[in-house]
Amino acid sequence: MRVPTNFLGQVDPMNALRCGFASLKPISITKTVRLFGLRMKTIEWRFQREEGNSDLIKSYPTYVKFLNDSVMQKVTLPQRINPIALSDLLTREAQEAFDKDLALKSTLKEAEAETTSARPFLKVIKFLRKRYDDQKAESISGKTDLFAHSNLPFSFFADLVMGEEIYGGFLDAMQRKTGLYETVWLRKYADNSRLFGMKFQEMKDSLAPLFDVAQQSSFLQKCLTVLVVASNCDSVESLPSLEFVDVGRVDSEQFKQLSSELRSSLDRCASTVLSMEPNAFSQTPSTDLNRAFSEMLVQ
Amino acid sequence: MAFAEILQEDPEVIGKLKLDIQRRQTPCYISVSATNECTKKLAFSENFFDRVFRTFAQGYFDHCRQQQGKNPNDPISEDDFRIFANLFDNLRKTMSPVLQKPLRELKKKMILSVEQMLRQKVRTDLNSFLQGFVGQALILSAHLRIERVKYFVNQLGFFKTNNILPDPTITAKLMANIRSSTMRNPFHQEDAENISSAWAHKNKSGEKTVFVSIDFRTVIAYAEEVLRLIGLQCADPLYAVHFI
Repeated sequence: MRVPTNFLGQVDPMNALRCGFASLKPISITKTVRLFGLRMKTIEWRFQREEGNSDLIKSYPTYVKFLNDSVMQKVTLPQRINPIALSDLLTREAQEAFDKDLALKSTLKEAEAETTSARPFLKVIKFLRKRYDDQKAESISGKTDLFAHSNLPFSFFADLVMGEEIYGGFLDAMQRKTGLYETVWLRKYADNSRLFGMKFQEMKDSLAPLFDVAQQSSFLQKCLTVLVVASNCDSVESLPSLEFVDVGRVDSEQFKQLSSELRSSLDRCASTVLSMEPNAFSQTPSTDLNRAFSEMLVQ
Repeated sequence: MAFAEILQEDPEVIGKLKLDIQRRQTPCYISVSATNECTKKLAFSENFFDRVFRTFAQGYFDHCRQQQGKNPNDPISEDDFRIFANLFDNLRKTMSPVLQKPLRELKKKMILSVEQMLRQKVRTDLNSFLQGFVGQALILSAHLRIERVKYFVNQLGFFKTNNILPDPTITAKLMANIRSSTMRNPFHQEDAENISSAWAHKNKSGEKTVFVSIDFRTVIAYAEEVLRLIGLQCADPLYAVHFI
């Protein structure tokens, strides 16, 4: 077995979103055009990066590097594992995955080139939501595969799957919020740069708490998986060929501490999503095990 | 009852209670002790699945296959039903009485699933077969954890959380008297604490209070004794509001 790629070094869409849009600000470009002999004023919108963020595709690796370095600071790894080398490896893998992800890159490029509305947010979110649905089964299967090749507790995997479910709800909440701004407010003030800018900022501010809690969960999830996987390797180089993850090789105090932090963070994240989108997660999955769960929980 | 709502068990019964409290504008609360019990039960259910799936994954299956002179990675066949039977039998013997029903349910689903696969001539090895079930358990577990947040933190259900704590003297009184008065189904500490919380709420707020439960075997069965001992009515959700 190889450690599933969606555990480490993957393109983290949440990071791409945060890195891509948190620093965007709209600028209006007013042009005068001549149509049928009449002089008409048109307004185009462009999104410009705030200082220090040149463009999304260039800034993504820096952002991922920063996150991986933060993970290495938080997690105490066994001495045989060099945290700098591990951070470099994870960043390289994430960058390679991002480079190969042409669909994501083209969606982001299209969004950045958008000139007439605030639609880029919505487009990217819809793209990520569709991708989430398309890849969910594969992602669960990656986790069950690791379950079979480890003796990690079921609750560890339940944490990861919970994070994934919440990410779906996070995208729903984002879609609802940005959709509302896009179709109502930003369209209404399209010809008023001051009010448009204000509403745009308001939209970003309203999404900020969601980003904050989601990113915290994503970060802790990464810390925990790095701890588990790295503790089972003899060196950074041997990480890609890891065959079995033994919980006995993981520092139990750290594992317990990070698991508990992750669980609290996931609860906060779910709560924030629900406060923005109360109908998120409304469908109870229908599985072969509903009855077994009921027998245990209801009786 | 919180899990009955989440898992849509007995929707007609819970539906009637919801309608009743809406019509009468009666507040419905869940105590700290009950929310803690729900959290514990969730962890308990995860441990249960962990134990069952690990038992399958830990090589006993492979060992039996090898004894039969077969390759452990061969697809599941008719001959494997006896290995499943042995595995489930061993699990049954080592699990507590409260886990017997969930174990039977899980066994039923797994065996019927094998049967269906064989009938449809689908070739699957044990590992892939097991992973399908692990995946379902993970999805449901994750959903239940989120629902816990939805109902207990965001208060998006028909009941609201109430911070009142159980009164230890009432809990002790219930445990001492109810347990000693009967040899029927055991009366649990958790139930005593939940009832005691309702009693504390009644005492503090002065509101007429009814303790609602769908646990007929270990709570409603003792309604008379609880009423006699502490003056609190325990009732089935079907007619709970009619005691107010």
